[in-house]
Amino acid sequence: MGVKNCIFLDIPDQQIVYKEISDPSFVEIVHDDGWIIRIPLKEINQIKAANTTASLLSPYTYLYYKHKEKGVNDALWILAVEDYIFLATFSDGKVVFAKAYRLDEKDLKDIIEAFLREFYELPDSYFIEHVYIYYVDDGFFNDPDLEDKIMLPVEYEKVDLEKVCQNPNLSKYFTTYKPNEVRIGINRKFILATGLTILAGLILYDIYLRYNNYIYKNKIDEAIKKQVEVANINNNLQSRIMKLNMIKPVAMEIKDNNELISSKLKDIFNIVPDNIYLTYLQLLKNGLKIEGVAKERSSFLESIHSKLSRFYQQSGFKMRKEGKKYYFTATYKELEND
Amino acid sequence: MIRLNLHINKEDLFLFLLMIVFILFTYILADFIVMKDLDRYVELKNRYRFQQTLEKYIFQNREDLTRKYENLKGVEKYLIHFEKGVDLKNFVANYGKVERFEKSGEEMVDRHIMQKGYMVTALFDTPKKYFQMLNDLRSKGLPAKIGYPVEFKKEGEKIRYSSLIFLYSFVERK
Repeated sequence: MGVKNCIFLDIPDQQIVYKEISDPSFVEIVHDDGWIIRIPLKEINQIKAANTTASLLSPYTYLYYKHKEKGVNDALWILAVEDYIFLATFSDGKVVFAKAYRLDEKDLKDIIEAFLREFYELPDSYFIEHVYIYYVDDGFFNDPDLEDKIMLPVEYEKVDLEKVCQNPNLSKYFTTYKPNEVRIGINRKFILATGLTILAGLILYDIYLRYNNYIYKNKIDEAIKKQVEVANINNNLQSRIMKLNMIKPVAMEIKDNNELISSKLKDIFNIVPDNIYLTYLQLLKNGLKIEGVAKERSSFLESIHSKLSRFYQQSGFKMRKEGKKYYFTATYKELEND
Repeated sequence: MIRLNLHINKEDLFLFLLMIVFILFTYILADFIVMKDLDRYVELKNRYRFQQTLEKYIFQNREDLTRKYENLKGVEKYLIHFEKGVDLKNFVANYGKVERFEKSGEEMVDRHIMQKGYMVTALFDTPKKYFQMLNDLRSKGLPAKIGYPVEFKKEGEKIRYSSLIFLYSFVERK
């Protein structure tokens, strides 16, 4: 498919290289024989800004095409565009030397001589036998004496741009050029490794979390079980303690009271000697009343009374004799302490 | 006029889309699974800490309560009788012949404890039997308080005892 509208890239900054680099600030045109024209993107953009619909073709590409078409190696190929003139030598499809000059700087003879001077200095240079000159502008000056001046056969040919645009061998070099191409210069292995590392890290972290959650859940369940047990014990203990505290004063009072009565009674029973027996005993809170029978009058006074007098004060005493026995009734009051 | 003429390498575009899909996948994994697990992890960790604090408190509480309980052990034997009541008549009958057993009023000691008085007259073989009864009252923890006046009267070879005995129990709640 040809392109209706195309123009030559009329800029000097067209570097010939043999290896691609991924630099988005350059446009690279790769030729069938492997060599590359590298053009700064901003230059292309400038041209595009001026003429947006036209396709761009490098003059070197055109010369390369002509070289391939003619199959001539020992020739100098020249294309004159508007502002610049492009010179190149090819050997079997490869560029040997190429250079652009301003058209209005020198005349054509000087340009060719300057180019050849530089070319012949190259180690892989060879003798140029032909000069092919192509020109775009009708106003290009065809010097009829040029052959004599440079002592080489010269052929002139006007470039039919329309045909160039339709030429499928050339138009592929429009299409393969990549204006404003954006390359993501990231190593795929690096992306893959990073991605997998993140993913693996995430998965491992999640496994770690889940494992810990499982452990914590078990620990919590165990703790709750234990706590419920202990809390139940505590509750029982608490309610028991509460009840014990309620009954404690009463229980102590019962104990003290009963012990006191028991000891008081025991004291009285213990002090009764063999020759006296009691028939009645009434223990009051702060006193007592006893009735009994004694064989001798003095025995009561000596035994019971003397001993009771340590704690009690006698408040009444009666004694009567019936037969040989003495019947007595005695009442005592507790001594006031202090 | 400047027209932006952007051409992107197809492989790069594919890689870029793959990256976006990957990032999306990673985000979904992170947000829906990992973050959820992380939230749960934080929650469980905090809960576990809370449980530990609680456990410490509960165990401390148990120690305190046990100590208090140890101090009240002397009163313990009374508790069951406060709760279940005492068959005093039968108890006295173990030591002597009960001749009279009459209720003589009741009153509240406090909000929880009730006191019931009984007029008891019983015939004991010897004073020793009576003392044995008093001893057992104490050792079994029966909440029975001997009231004044305590009377003993010789009846032939035996003695007739009579006094008020107060029984204590918890107020029954309806």
